[in-house]
Amino acid sequence: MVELFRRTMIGQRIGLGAVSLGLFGISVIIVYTFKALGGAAVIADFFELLPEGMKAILHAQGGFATDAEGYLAADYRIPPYLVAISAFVIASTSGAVAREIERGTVLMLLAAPVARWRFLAAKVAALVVGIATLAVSALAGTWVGLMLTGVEGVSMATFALIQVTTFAFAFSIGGIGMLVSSLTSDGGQAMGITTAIVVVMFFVDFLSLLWEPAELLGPLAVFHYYDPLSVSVADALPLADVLVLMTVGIVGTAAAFVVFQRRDITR
Amino acid sequence: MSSPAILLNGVTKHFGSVEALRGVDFDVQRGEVFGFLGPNGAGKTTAIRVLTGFISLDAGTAQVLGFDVGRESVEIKRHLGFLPDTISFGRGLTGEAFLNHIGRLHGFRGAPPMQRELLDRLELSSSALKRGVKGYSTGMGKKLALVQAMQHDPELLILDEPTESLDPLVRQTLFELFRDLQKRGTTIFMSSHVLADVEEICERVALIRDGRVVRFGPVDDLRVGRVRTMQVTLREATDAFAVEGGRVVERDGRVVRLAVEGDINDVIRGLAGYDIEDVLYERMSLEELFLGYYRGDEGEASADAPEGQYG
Repeated sequence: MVELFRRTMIGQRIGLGAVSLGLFGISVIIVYTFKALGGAAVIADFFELLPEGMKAILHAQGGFATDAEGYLAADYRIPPYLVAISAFVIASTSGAVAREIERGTVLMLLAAPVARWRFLAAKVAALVVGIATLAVSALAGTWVGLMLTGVEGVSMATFALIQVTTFAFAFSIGGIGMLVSSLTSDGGQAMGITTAIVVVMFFVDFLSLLWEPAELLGPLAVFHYYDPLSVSVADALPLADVLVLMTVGIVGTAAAFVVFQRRDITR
Repeated sequence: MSSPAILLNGVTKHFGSVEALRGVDFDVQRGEVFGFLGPNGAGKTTAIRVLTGFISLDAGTAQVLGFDVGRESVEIKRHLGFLPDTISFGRGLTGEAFLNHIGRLHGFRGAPPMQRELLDRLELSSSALKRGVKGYSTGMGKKLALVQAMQHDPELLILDEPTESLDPLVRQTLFELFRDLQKRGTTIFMSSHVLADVEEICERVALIRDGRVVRFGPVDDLRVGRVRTMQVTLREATDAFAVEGGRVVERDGRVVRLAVEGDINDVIRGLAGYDIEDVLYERMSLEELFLGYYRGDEGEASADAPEGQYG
C-alpha cells in the first residue's frame, strides 16, 4: 500500500504543485485586494454595493464582518478558489480508479499481491494528503499576504479553523468523486459525472439562498455547509457543518470501497 | 498429490445479455506449457481475467494453484506473473522505475531475482531502461511487460498474447526462456491467436469459441481424425491413379493431391504400384485445424469438435 501511495503521490505531484501554488497566489492576492480597496474604512460600503447574487456566492447575506478577517474569510468562497479545489479533487478521484482502468495500468498493479481495498486505500490516502496540502498552501498564502501588506487584525488560528472546513468540504467532494470513479471504467466519464454533480450542488446552494421556494434544497448541497465567513464571525469551528461534510466524504469513500471490491474490471 | 495449476469447472460469465463464457472446463497441470487458443471475442481474455481475479464468476468454480480465484485472489498473486492484453505503464515512468515499482509491489526492496537475467536475454539495455516508457516502441513495451511478469520468478505465468508485437528473433528468445522456466518447474498458460506459437511451444491446448471450449488436449492429438494432404508427383501422368485411403482432390499433369482420410499405411501400400518421383506428405498444421473449428460452419464444428476433454 505504501508503494502505491508513493507512486500515486509522484503521479499527482505536478497537478498538486500547480494547484497549491495557485491557491497560495490567490490567498496572497486576496490580502492585497483588501488593501487596494481601501482597507477596513471602506470595506462595509463596498460590500453593501455588491449584488445579492454575489453575496449569496460568498454566503454573506447575513452581513459581513467589516474588518480584514471577515473580508478575507468571505473570499475563500470566491469561484476561482472553489474551482481550483474542486478541479484538483475531481481530477484526483477520476484518476484513482476509472483512469487506471481506462488506461489498463490497473491490470499490472492488481496482478501483484495487493488487495483491492489496499489499492483504493492508497488512492484515498493520496487524496487526503493532497487536500491537506491545498489547505496548508492557502493558509500559507494568507499568512504571507498579511506579512507583505502589513494588514492587521487577522487571527491565523481562525484561518487554520477555516482551512479545517476547507479540508472537510474538499473531502466531501472527494468521497463523491471516489464513488463515481469506482463505478466507471472511463476517466473522462468519471470526471464529467463528478463535475456535473458538483456544479449542480453549487447552483442548488446558490439558488436556495436567493429564491425562497428553493430554500429547502440548500442542505442537499455540500456547498451549504462550507461557510468560512461564519467561522470568522464565531471564531470557532462549525462542528455540525464539518461533521456533515466529513460524513458525506466517509460514506462516499466507504461506498467506493464496496463497489470497487465487487466490480468486474473488464476494460 | 498437488492440485492442478489451473482448474476451471463449469465457469460461466454473462455481461448483460452476452454470454461471454459458457460452462468452460479445463485444467492445466503444474509445470506444463499450455496454450489457450481462440479468435478475437471468443472469450480468451474474459477467462484469463477470471483466473486473475479481475472478473467474478456467475457460475462454476475456478482454482489457481489450489486457491479459489474469488476468495483467495491475493494469495494466488503471490505466486503469479501476469501479462495483460492491454499494456500500459502509467505516466512519467522510466522502464527501470516501472520494473522496480512492480517489484516492490511483490515485496522486493531491490531488483527482483530474475530481473537482470530477463533484461539481458530480452536485450533491454540499461540506457533503454533509463528512458521514459512513453518513448518505447510497441515491441520494447511488450518486452518490458514480459519482464515485469517474470522478474519475481513466479510459480505460474498467465500471459495474454505474449508474442504479439515481437519480432521473430525475440519470439524465439522468449520461447527458449519459456523452455528454461518450464525446466525449473514454472507453469506457463498463454493465450494466443498465433497458431504457430502455440504449436511450437505448448504441450496441450484448449480451443475456445463463442465462450465454449470446443477442443482440449495435447496439440498432436488434436490432429487425430482430421484430414491430412499428400502431394504425389508421378514419373508419368495417368488418369487411372487411385489408392485406398486417399481421395484425389486435385490433379495437375503428373502432380496429384490426395486427401488422406484413413490409415496412412493403406495409402503407402497403394502408392507402391506406381512409378513415383516425389511424395510430399503435409502434416496438418494447427492453422488448418484451427480454421476447421473456426471457419464459422457451426454444423461442421459441432460435429467435429465435441465439447470437453479428449485424448
